[in-house]
This record gives sequence, structure tokens and C-alpha cells, in this order.
Amino acid sequence: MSVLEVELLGLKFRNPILLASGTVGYGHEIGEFIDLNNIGGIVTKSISLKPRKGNKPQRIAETPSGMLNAIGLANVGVEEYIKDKLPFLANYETKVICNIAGSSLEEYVECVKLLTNEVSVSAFEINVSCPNVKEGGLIFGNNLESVGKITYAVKKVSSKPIIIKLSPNVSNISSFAQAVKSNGGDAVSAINTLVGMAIDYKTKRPVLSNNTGGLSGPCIKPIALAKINEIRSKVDIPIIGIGGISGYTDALEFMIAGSSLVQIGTANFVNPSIAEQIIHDLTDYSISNNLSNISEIIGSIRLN
Amino acid sequence: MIVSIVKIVENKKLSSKYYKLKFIANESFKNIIPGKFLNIKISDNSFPLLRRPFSISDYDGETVSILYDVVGTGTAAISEKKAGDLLDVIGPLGNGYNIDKSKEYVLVFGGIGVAPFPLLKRFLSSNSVSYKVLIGGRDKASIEYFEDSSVFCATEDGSFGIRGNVINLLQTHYSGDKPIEILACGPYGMLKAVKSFADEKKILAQLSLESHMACGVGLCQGCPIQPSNDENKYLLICKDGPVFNSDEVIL
Repeated sequence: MSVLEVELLGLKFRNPILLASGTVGYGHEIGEFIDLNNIGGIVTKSISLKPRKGNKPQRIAETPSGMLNAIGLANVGVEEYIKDKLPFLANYETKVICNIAGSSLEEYVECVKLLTNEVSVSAFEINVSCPNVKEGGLIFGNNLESVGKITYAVKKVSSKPIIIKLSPNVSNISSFAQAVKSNGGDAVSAINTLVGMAIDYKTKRPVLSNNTGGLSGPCIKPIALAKINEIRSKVDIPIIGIGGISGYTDALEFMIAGSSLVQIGTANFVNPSIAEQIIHDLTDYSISNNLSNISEIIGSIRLN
Repeated sequence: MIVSIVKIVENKKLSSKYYKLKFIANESFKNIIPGKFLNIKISDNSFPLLRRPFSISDYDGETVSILYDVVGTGTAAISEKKAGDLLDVIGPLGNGYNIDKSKEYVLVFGGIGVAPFPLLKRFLSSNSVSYKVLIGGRDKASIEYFEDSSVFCATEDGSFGIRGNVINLLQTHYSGDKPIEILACGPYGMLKAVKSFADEKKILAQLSLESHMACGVGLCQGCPIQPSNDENKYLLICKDGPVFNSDEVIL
């Protein structure tokens, strides 16, 4: 077993580095910059039952050490995903985690049903926390009962592990992780973006056409670490950490806080080959610190 | 492969308005066509976080230039770069202008949209393509650097060329008797007017669009543009453009 190999949810990940949903397309886009075989896993762009056009421009705004996006779940829909996107990913050894978005409980269930027998899909990440769509998204993610119900319903129809992507826009994220666990969910990923707004003082208008967007990037890292620490200390469930990871020390901090795997998101926009760099640096770190396996540091936080 | 660290050889203010940054070219710029862009990392830390897209202004076989106006944090930071500094550049990106040697072109630029002009001029001249150049700007300082005997200018304040905008120039210079094609780059309002002009005269214009974008390579989906043939989807300015045919998009 190599020093970075991590086993989770019955799956062997080459390393703990995953590419986050919505930041690498369906694989072929980022494949121009990195060799996907080197990456632990890829979480593909949120898929809904039918194609979605997404929000009007302006969809992106830069903020201090971060960015707001309001893409609005633009995606090709399940049918095209299976026909045109998955075959490309089948050529690689990287684990494919299929991220699913829905505007109703039925839509989540239907998507999982259609995809669960696809051999290239290793697991599902359920997006109950997109802040940029009117229906579904945060309406579910901020409601404990909905998160529980969705977890239970998709788990029932899935032959693959279910990961629920949690919203940080709540007071007690650990209660949501508990709801996932109680309803049979296999893991949580934390955190999705935080609701934010940018305003143009000259026009008095919000910069984004959607008014609000999801805040991501280095500025949300401290929030993500606190939320992960909260989940780890209260609920016994695997955590996939995400939120502003831009280098290998960030990845280490997320693992120390309790993440078994981590996802690289916004950093892919700035440097599309950052994931390979982080994997390289993590290997060097593990060797120079005499780790027999990187998983030794998971949850190794020493609280004051 | 298109991510490269390049060495800056010059970064200077051209006129009272624009700056030019020049760096040493590498293999990826060979056979480049005009209208493509670069996505440039501004700082080594997280502020400004995102790269900034710049039109490729010129390539002389040895060096590549970009032309920019200081408008915000990103361009202010890039204006501080010195000769000898290294720059993290992704590109050339996107689809440039599609030049048909048998056609006659009218080049229409507005404001900093004049950036791709030097490379276009080089490309058109070396391929013996005939063209006319119209440049519009706010004032003399916006356009004087590009002035030569073949260029027609318009300024809003009348300080250089005719008083008015580049659309006024276009109306004066296009008589409608020849099947010309327009190559345009400029602010949204200008491109919209060029498109209306082209639609009305039933000629084609190639429009170089701009947008806020996070990645420039199709990952973030942050730069949508409405295509004219399918209201249920968007095209991306970074991947499908930045140059679009006027009949292909709705502005």
C-alpha cells in the first residue's frame, strides 16, 4: 500500500485528493491540464434529471481572497451525462463520485436510480446545499428533516455509497451530520459554499445577477476547519473536507481536523494543475515525516 | 501544456492611458492567430485570487504583448510588475478571428478593445488581406498611440479625429456597395451597436466578447453568452469564443 493510499467507504483511493464538484467540469475539461490517473477521485459537476441552463450573467465576482459564484447548476442532465460524459471517465482509474442536485426529493431519487448501475460511478455526493437555485438546494440543506429524508430515500435506491454535501449556512452542522448518519448516509462532505453578496456602490446593485452567490476560496478555510472539527467531535461519520484548500499544508490541516479525504475546488480555477502539485507535496511530507500512511494524521488534532 | 512561467521584458505606460506588458514568447505562441487571450495570475498570494483575462495584443516572433488599462485591483497590481519579473500565464486560449484572405475587412475598435489591433494588423498585412481601421475612444489619450495614416479615429470629446463614436465612423465609411466583413473588439455597448449595424446591412461581424471569468478554460462556467439558435442553453465566452460571429449570439 502506497503512503498516500486511503481506504474509505469500501473504496481504495490512490490518494486523499479529490477534485470538487463544479470546479472541474465532467473531467475532460481538467484532463487537459492533469493526468486524472494521478488523482484520488473526481466529483463531477452537479447533475439534475433534466438539463439546466443556469443563471444569467454576471455569474462570478471576486472578493477578498475568495470568489462568489452563482452558476445556478448549469448542467447537461442525467441522460447526456451517461451517454457523453461517463465514457470519458471510464478510461481512468480515478474514482468517480457523481454529484446530484434536485429540486424535489423525487428528482434526487430518480437520478440515483438511473445512475446506480453505471460501473464508472463509485459513489454519489448529494448536493442539498446549493445556494444559487430557487427550488431545492438550500431549502433542503438548511432543514434537518429534509436532509434526513433525502438521505434515507437515495440510500434506499443506491447500490453505491452515499455522501451528503452539507451546507455551512446553519448554526449546528453536526446535527445535520447526525441526521445523515441516522438515515443511513455513508459520509458527509463539508463544506459547501457560504451565502454571500457583492454590491457595486456606484449602481447600488448586487454584482451577481442572482443577487447572492456562494462564497469559496481561501477566505472560507477557517470556517470549514471549525465545521469539520465540530462534526468530528460530535458524530462518528467519515468526513470529506472541502473549503479553500490551495496547497498541501491546507490539505494536512483538513485531515488533522478530521477529514479522511479532501476536495480541491476554487484553487483549480487559479491553477488547473494544483491537485497534482498537492499530491506531490503530500508524498514528500509523508516520507520526510516517516508516516507509513497519510491516514495516520486523520483526526489527529490536539485541541487546547 | 499551455500553463507557462514567462519572463517580462518590458512593462510601461504608453500614453496617458494604456500600459503595455511584453514577455518572452515560448513555443505555444507559434502560429498564433489574432483574437486569442491569456489568463494571467496577478499575485503570488490569494489577493487578487483569480487570474485576469487579457487579449493578446501582439506577437513578433520573439515576444508577446498585452495592452491594458488600470481599472481595478488586478490591473493596478500588474502595472507594478518590472522587467525581469516572472509571470504565470495560461494561454493562448479561446478561438480568435477567422480570416478569409479573399475578403475585405473593416476593423472596429473601441477603448481598450484596440488591444488585439497590432497582431491583427501584422496578420492581415502579411497575408495581403485588404482592410480599413476605425478606432473610437473617449479622448485623444485613448487612441493616439495607434494613429497612423491608415487609421480613422473618433473621440467622444472631439479632441482627435471626428467627434462621436466608432459607430458614426462605421456609418460614414461603409457605403454598402462592397461585401465587407467587420472584425470588432470593444465594450459591450459598442459590440451591440456593431451587431445591429451588421444585422441591418446583412453583413457579418466577428465580435470579440469579454466577461468576468474565474478560470478561462471552461471549468467554472462563469462566462455565459446566449446563442441565437438555442434559447435553452448558453455558450461560454472562454471556450466557444471569445470571438463570435454576429449572427451566432444575442447581445
